[in-house]
Amino acid sequence: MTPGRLWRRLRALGRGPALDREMDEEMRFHLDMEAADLASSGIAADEAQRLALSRFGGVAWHQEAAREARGVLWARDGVADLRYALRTLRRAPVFALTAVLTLALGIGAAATIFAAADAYVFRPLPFPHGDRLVRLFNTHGSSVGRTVSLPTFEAWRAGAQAFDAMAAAAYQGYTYRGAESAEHVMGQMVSAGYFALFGQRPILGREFEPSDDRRSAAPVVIVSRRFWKTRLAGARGAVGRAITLDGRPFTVIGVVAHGLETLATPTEVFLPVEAVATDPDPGHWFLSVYGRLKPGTTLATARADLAVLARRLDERYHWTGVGATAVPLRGALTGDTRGPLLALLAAVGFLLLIAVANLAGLLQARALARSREYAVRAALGAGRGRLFRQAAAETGLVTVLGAAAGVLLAAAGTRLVLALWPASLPRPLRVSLDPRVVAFAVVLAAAAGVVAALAGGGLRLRGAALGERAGSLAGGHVRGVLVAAEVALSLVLLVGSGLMIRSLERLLSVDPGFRDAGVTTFEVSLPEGAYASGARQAAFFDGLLARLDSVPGVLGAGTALNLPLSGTMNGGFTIEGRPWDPATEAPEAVKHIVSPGYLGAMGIPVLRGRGFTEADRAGALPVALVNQAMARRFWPGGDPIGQRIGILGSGWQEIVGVVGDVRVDALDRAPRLETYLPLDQWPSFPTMSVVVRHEPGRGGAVVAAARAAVRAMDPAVPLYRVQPLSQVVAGAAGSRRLPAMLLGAFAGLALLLAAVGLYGLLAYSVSRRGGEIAVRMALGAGAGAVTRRVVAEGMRLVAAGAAAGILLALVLTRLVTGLLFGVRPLDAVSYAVALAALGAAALLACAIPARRAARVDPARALQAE
Amino acid sequence: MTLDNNGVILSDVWASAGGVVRDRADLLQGTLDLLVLETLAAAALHGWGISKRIRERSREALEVNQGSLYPALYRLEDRGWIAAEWGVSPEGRRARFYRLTAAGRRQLQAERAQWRRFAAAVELVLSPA
Repeated sequence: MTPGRLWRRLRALGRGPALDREMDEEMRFHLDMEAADLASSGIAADEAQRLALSRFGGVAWHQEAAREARGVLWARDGVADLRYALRTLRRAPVFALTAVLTLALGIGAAATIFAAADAYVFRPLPFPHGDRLVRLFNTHGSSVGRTVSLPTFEAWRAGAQAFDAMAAAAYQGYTYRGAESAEHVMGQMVSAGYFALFGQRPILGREFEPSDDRRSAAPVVIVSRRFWKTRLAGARGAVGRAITLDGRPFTVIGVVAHGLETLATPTEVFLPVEAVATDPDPGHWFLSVYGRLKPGTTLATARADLAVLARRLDERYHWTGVGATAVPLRGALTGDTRGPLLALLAAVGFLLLIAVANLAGLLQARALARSREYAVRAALGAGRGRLFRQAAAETGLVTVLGAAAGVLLAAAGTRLVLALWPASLPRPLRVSLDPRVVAFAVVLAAAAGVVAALAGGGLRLRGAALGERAGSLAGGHVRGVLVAAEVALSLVLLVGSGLMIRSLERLLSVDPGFRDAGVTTFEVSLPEGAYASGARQAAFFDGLLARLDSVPGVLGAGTALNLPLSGTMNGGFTIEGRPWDPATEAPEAVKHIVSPGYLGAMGIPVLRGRGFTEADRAGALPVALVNQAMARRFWPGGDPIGQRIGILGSGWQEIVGVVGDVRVDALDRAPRLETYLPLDQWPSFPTMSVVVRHEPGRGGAVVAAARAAVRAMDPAVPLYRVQPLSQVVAGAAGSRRLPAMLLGAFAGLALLLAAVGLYGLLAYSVSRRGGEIAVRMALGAGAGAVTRRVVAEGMRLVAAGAAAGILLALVLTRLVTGLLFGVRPLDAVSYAVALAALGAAALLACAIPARRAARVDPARALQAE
Repeated sequence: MTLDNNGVILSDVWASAGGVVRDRADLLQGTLDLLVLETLAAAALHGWGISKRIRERSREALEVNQGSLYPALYRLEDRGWIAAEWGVSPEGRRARFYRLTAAGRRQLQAERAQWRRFAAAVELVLSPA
């Protein structure tokens, strides 16, 4: 319909009554003229009028035809059709509810996952020129994703031609001294231009300028909106005030809206990195570097550019084989989420297909059930177009209601997904029900409605032959195929979710190398001002551990620089008497810097030799422990105890013990080379993790005692990030838990829909064949035989669908091998459980109509014939 | 060229089946459209004027079913081929006058050509080979 025509029709609709009056007037004029014309040829006036009217024909009839021609009826009938559809749906509440819910589940699930996938995979990053943003890394041999030292960042920023902006950031916790107490706040050291790079403008004040980002600059800080609201009372005058961080005053120069949560965990304070970084050592790699490519510059150009700079640095600092690379920021941020999200997207696609198949079956049953009504109405003169419009109105109404309910479900779903979003993954900035997602849902629903209507023949008007019995057998075949397809798709989802859940289970049963039950951890951070010397820091932690050891219920306490599964410190090393060519072989080991009680508190076994003792202090023989992986690699069959290793940047350490391997990076990563070094023989660190092993159920009391101990020692020291060690482990499995849970939920829904589809088909078939069943029973078939017949009818479909489903699953699960852990795609258990669940649900869906069939009273049913 | 409803004159046989034998042909929709457009090509007219003009120009051979003229007019208006406005008739009465639009003029040319092809084709069939 052309716009002009639509406009005329809408206008006609709006002016309905006025147009009717005009039409009356126009036709009256016509009749008068005709009568006058006749009268002028000599016919008597009243006879002329009668003749004119008869020549004109039925005025009312012509007026109705005229209204239709004008397109008024088109819309007026539409409203009537919708009203009629509402009425008929209300008279068939089970059909209406099932159809709407089916569609809503399909649409809701699809829109929810689409919202997440859209934010992560499809949409450009929510930053200006997001497609040109890259993350820059150091590389070392095969190890790629390395952070960067301050001198390297400076060299890159000054020398790289391919970028029009570059910025760096690194986390650093700070102790904020508020009015009452000291607390730990998450901070980042950032370079000047960091906020501008991501298009962030301070909501108050200004961002760092190069003059702030200098070693001798006056100490300044930018705070987050949250910090400003909660700690600075949201006052406009906050800019210019000083706050105390780590015992030093910093002047607030700006407030930023948020701390770029997409990139990082929420941050409260930002400090200029050049001014506050304590370590300009080129060997201290701690910065995350981001850059924006110049327009038109390719990633390859940028990489070549960086490689030249990296080679120069490599020579200057006598590194060996340290390179540099750049990767698109999106990939750097969302690399690990892409696979699971695409798998989930496929899963909701299947779920939606099942929903559409179900809807098609429902619509077809509905059309067959109403075919007699259509026949009667066609006989009474309803036009085919009108009948079609009414059937379409009903389908359309179901679709619209389903879409609306689906969007509501998606609104709840996105909120749920966000709530369950694992902390270990970058937080999506905008997983929300924005117009794009709603549009997606609406288009999907419309397509689903049309496909279901076409597949189910819901719009085919089988009313033409009144004599035809309601419903033909041909329709049953189509529904059977639809149900078998539903069974096949839901089996694929069941197998897929089974594989994911088994992977999660395998992951959680991985021995992390320590015993997490009954251990509580927290962090303690010493303000640098008061604890500038390593001796004072060491004294504090020694004192704290001594106090913790005397708390009732505590079985052991220790500290470490980093806990497993929460980041590592790595470094190169050498082995005495085994020089290696650093260009080809430069192994690195995790450095655990721990107190003597750490191994006991964590439950990490000492396999040979001894652990650390109080005797391993500064000035005593420098010692180290190695893990089993390291002992096996360098002393296979031999004894590492008594051998000496050199951690780069220090002298030789004598190996005094071998300990068990610990999963330091992730549960699904193989153990790495690890070394343990005694805290007292190494430069102390102001922030340490404390682990306390205690009697079961005493975690709360132990934390309270620890807080009291810290407060008693120094009220300016914060204790934070309290969590059971088991939570650290659970968090490490978090990125697998959400997809597994979601896929499991979708598989459950798919099974439910398929069962409903099967039930609907059988129930319909039984009710339609009441006569046939009655005849069978009258001829002597027992209730058992009838039941078996119906169940067999249903299970034949299930068997066909399951066979197809297994084939499909065999092909499709191969695509998700990368998402599995410890399970092969051909995992027999997953297939068996999926088939068992499917069989149970299918039997249940068959049993109800079968029982109804067995209860048919032959005499009654035959009388009704 | 296909033979469809568009432009076919109902035969007298059809009319006589109703029990009334008439010497004038009734018109089917498509033909009526052509005649209305043709009539309006000369001058703007009101509904009655159109029916009268068609009768006169066909020398009383064609009778427009007067009542069905109006649905046809509204349909043509809906298509955008004619436009209507209220004016005053020569007798001094308010009347709705229809005129051809630019789109209507193009449509008229198309329908004329089609009609001629149709008539020629029928003539070919009727004339002995």
